[in-house]
Amino acid sequence: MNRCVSSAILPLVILGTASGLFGCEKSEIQSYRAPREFRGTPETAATLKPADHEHIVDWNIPDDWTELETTSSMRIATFQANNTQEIAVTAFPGDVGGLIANVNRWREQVGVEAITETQIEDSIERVAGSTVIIVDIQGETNRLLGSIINIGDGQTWFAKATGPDEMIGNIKDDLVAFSVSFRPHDHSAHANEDSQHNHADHAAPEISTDWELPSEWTPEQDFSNMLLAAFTTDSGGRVTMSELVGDGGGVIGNVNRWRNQLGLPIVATEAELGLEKMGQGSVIVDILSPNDEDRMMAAIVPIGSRTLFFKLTGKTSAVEAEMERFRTCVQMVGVANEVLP
Amino acid sequence: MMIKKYLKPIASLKLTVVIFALSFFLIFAGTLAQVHAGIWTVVDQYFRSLVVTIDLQIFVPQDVLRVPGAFWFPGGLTLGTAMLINLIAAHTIRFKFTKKRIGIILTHLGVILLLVGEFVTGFAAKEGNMTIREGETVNFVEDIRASELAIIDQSDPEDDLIVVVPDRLLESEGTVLDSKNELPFTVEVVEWMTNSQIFGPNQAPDGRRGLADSGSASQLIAVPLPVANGVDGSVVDAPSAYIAISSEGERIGTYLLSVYLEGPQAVVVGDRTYWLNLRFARTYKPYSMRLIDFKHDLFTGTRMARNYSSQVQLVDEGRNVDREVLIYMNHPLRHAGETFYQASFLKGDTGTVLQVVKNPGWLIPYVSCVVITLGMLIHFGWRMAPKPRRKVS
Repeated sequence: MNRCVSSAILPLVILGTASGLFGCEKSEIQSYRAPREFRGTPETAATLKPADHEHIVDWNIPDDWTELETTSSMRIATFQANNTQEIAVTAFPGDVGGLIANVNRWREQVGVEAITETQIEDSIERVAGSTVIIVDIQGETNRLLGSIINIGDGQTWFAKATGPDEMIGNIKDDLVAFSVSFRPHDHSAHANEDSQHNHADHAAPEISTDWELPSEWTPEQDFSNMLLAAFTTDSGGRVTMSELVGDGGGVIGNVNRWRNQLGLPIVATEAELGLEKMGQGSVIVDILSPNDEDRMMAAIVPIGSRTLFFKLTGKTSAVEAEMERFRTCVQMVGVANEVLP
Repeated sequence: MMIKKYLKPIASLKLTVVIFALSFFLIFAGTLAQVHAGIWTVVDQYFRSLVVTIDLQIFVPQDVLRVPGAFWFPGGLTLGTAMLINLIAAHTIRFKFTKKRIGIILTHLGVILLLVGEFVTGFAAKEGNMTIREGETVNFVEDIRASELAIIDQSDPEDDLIVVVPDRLLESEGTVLDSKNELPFTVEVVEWMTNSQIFGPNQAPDGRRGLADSGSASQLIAVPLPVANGVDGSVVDAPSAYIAISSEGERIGTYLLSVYLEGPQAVVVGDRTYWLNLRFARTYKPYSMRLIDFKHDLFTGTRMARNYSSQVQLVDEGRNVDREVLIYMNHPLRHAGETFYQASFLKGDTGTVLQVVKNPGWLIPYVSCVVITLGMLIHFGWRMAPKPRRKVS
């Protein structure tokens, strides 16, 4: 018995010493002096991290939108569409309560009753592989159009507009396109650019412009600075060329966005997009609206670390008249930049 | 002889088996506990404690059955110590040095070293982060597992007076600082959230309203979250708190403080302005680092990271050091007994996050692994080596 007791003493001594050492943690109120870290005034406001969205995301601003000065500390950006309708962009950490909570919050804001988890899919529209969720709620007096955007940065981004039914209807396509264009900021590729929003540089040296302009196309003088070039065709159509860093959101994301603009449903796989492959990753697609009135032919041509986007849009007849010239133009630019055979 | 007599019971092989069995169970229970508790909470409660209270609920999913009750179990510190003593005792009373036993002795020596290494790490290792924006100079390390309320008085033209309340004292509601301290006001915790999420006005679930009526974050709402457990993707707790400030019995305001907020909030008491900030716990260092440049290189034509690197100016006047250092992946800086690893970066590549580790026992696991490997190679090599044939007469 004595032997057992003695044998137990050694471990207990070691354990006692060990636990005593573990207990030495800093846990009291302390005061000290330190060099000045910031110089504050009472007006200095604590803001949600991160305050500087330009270093976090890139987005494409629709042609008809202008950015307004944002005065609210909770807003990331504010836009105005057609000089009237305001669109607010916010971001909050985490999932901000989850999808159902956000949708019901918006429904409550326009006086519409809440929905349950089982009804959620009927009330939303998922685009760009579910990274963007569009919520369109018609209230008693106002209509709310919002998008919930996840770009994988640990935050949930929101773009929202509330207003009369017709006004919201007019900006819906642009708000969807704007939301789909959200992507993590490509810092390395744009380190020296002043504006991180504008991915098209009119003098981008990487893109060779050694191609022949069809005589039926008239260069536009006053086009969005997001575009490399824009042309009006004699048939009444419009051709635009733009450039984005990386894959610019990918083929499926972009074509789905265009399908959405023409009122076609979003598809889940590339095989359903009806793509025509041009070689070396380049594709061309022909999209017709459900009522056959509008048409779009678009091409995606990767060039090194960037991607060129060509779009021919307009009434069906106007687009059909230019389709061959458009193909030729895409081919010529691709050959000039040594990415198409 | 006398020592051997006393050591014999604690050198028992049966005891070894029991300790192993208990250790297996502890590891199993500790793994299950991480479903609901944070990884560092579990490490402290299960593996660096003498005794752990194991809830029965961890063995049954909560949505299947609610199981009340708990039982006591020896913690990792107890079992590790017991294992070390058992091993040393066994070698003490059975020690025989022969050529055949070199492998076994080396292997066990390696195991002893490994156990000692964990003791040293548990007792002495310190870990933190140094977050530096480009162009900024930082002289402190933040512990992302702990937070503190900092109240900053800038009335001195030279330095700031900083009063720091550690999170342990903020966890319970009530007054944590009264005006008898260096500050002419009382600080009261209205609500503490170990982990939280921030919502905008009207965004919070269940119609929850914010408690703050003052400060630049009064429109925001903090909602408590379960502690980060590392299992569901959450790794770091983000604490928030509603803190009320009163002076001479009069409430000045209730403020929302959170590690999610950038910058401190002003409180005006009398003719002085004080600054409130809930931040990760800081340890100030005798050296400083200025981030000259952070680089996030990509493989050409892709968004795949090829390298992260931080070019810093290290200044330590006490050690007569003022030099430029490049810290990058697998190339840490070692200075003043600490190691600085390139750990992460700020969103938009605007700054770097260096992991600062001080672990006097960092080399022990490497040495012990080498010794164990060597011991096993010798032991099995000896046994498997072809034996010379006996001559048949």
